Amino acid sequence: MTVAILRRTAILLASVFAASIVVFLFMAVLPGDPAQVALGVNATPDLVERTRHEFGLDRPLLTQYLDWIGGVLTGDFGTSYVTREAIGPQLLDRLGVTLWLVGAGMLVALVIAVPFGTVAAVRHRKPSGVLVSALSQLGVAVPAFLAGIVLVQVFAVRLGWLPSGGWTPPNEDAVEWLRGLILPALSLGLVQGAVLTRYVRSAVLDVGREDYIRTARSKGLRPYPALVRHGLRNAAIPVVTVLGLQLATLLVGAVVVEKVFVLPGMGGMLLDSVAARDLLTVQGIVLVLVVGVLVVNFVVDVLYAVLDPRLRGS
Amino acid sequence: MSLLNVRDLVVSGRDGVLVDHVSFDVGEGERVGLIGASGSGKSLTALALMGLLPEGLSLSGSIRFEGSELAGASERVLSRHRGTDLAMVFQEPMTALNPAMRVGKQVVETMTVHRTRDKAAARKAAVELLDLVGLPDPVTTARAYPHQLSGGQRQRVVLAIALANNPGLLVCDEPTTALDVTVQARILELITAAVRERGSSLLFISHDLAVVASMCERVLVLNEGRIVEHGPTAEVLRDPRHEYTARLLAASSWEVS
Amino acid sequence: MARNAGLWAGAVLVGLVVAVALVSFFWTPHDPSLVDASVRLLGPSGDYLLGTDKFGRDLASQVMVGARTTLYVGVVAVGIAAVIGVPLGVLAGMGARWLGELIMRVNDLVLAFPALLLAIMLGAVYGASTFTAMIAIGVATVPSFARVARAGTLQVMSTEYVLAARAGGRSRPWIAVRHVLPNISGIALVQSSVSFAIAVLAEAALSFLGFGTAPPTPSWGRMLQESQELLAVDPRLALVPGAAIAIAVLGFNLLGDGLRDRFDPRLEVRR
Repeated sequence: MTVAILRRTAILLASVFAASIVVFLFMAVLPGDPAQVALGVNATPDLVERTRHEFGLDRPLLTQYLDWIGGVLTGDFGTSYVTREAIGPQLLDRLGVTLWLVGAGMLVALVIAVPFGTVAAVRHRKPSGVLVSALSQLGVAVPAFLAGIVLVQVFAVRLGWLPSGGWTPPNEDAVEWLRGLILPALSLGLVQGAVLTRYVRSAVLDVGREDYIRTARSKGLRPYPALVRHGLRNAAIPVVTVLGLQLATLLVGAVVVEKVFVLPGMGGMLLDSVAARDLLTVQGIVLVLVVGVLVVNFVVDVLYAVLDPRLRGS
Repeated sequence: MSLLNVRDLVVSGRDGVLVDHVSFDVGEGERVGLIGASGSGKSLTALALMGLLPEGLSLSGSIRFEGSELAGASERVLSRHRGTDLAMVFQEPMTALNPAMRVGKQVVETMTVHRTRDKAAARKAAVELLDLVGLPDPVTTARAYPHQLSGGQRQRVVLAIALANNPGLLVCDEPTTALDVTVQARILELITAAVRERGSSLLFISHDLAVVASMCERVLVLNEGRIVEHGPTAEVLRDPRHEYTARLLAASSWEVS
Repeated sequence: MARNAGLWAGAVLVGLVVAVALVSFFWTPHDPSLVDASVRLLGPSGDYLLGTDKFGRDLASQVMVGARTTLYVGVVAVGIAAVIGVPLGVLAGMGARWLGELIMRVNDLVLAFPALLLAIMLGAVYGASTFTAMIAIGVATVPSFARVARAGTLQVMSTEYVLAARAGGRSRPWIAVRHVLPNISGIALVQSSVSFAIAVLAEAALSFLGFGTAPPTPSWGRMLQESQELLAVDPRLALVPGAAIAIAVLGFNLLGDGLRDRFDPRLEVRR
């Protein structure tokens, strides 16, 4: 097991390294240079040259990369070409908001998917099971931002129960924070919950057909306990994979939902920096998001080994 | 009165009748063989007794165990009989055990689910059972996961599960077909010894006449869902009345001695 | 029975979207981008079937032409993904062990760049357009195709007819063309349908964010974005394009599921 985890860790580190190069090159090898892009077309060549020098853009690519990645490793994401402020602290601040949103969204998705997916599987020949399947199929087809728009309309505008957007930090006012988190988390989580419901359903269905469930029942376990005690852990194995992929989707989906709810997360920061042509900030945010996805994949792989004893190696 | 009375058992699916009016009895402590080619309905008959028919198949007729009716009984009633009165050993040891649960726990569960023993006693009994079925180092084996055991070892675990509550009737569905020839004989000896010791009845399903001849007192021959011949094993094998039995005999490795 | 019903329902919904898109080439009730302040925010009527938006543009005509955009982006993106992903997957499944390992590692790396992120990166550098959206969605979808193609290839490579062909001295390219590709075309088709649904959602999200199709070309995602400020006044503006997206996604998903039941060899074995 330790060997497997070490192997996965090595792969994670290599992937993060490769991803940082991809992100860096993507931004470095663009038509025109970042200083020109940041300053706009009206900047004098002299000003562009000075800015280039100021930000070290006239150095060789390798030096620039090492300088950047070295900084990133210590939490220093560089100084914005546009606002001339340090990117790191703001990024960290924004990351917190996004992580709350993604975490709450995932929770919503799980709370929906596990019970409904199981019901849909256990009762797959009965009307209630078919209904759940059909609803999940429909839920998958709704974009998260549409769900957000509708939720705002109903719960914020019409009913006035919850704020339509904005963010209160949890340490300032926990109640307001929670109230502000509910609608964004729902719009992010409902759709992913529908997606996940379908995977839970098929995983539980597959497991329900396994011989060892029959063995469990031959011992005298009734159908539902047999499924819960012997099936859930085995069914969790394929579901965890999907969950990993979904977290990645959620991380990016948060970009859209943050826009709908005007949340000060990484997504909003990303869109703002793109609009402001602030490429170094874009570069930093993209790296954080991509590394986030890679870390999630790593955690999934490790969870796998925990859930499936066959993967632990003897 | 016999332990098990099956009358006019019919199992049908979408494509027609799979087990066709099968009737037989199994006496207390009796060892009965059920033979037939694949697709003859042997396994379905066994699963019907356990109330574990695959989805989409339906059952009619009567299955009485110690006088109480199992056919059409509720899941609640059936689950009380399973694992205590009726226990089963399946054909495929590779898939019959939960890959994510230690085998000892899978044996323990059989006892705790029926509360025949408390948890501590069940743990102790599980190790004894694993020892009884001939697994080396039962304490360590109890902590193993199925993938760490060979096919023969897994089948021993399945047998331990089936024997845990001293079942009145042990149903074995081709328990050695998936195993190496060298292991087969040992498992068969174990089964015979176990039912003898406990006074349990045995319904032994096989396509192999030689095996049935060595284990069972009486034999039922199943062909295309019907019982075509039955009687004491020696008699049926020496003098098959039905042409199908003769053909099975000719195809078998069993020699009339 | 029920599975077949899903396949048919999916085919009908997809057919509907395709038909609407095709018709829009020849005829729309109105010019979809004609701004007319005198007919702002009209409800549905005989003349304006689904009403008009805040600029007086006909919603029905916009949805019709928007279907074109959606399908265009989907076809190109899925095309890119399939053309690159399937050969890579076959190579990973048939080629040397290290090559397969390498391809799958790179695959995992690409997976870390979701379509939306790629599109925003491309947009940041080159300026957002339908083109950057298609490329981004396409590249981000390559790993899914490579993955299923590799799994399918491994399965085909272990069959007896391939072993026989290899024993008979057939070359790898011959086996790839003769045995592997025909046998994995089914699962590739399933993946296409499922990926198409994801592409439709991604395009809508990108247009919503302003990183997809630029005005004046109608796009469902942008219609939704434009509807946001007037939602309290007229929810219809969001519901119409929202329903269009849902119909397309539902259609491709149902079609994919239905096809999978037909093609997935795993399910066949299990009956």
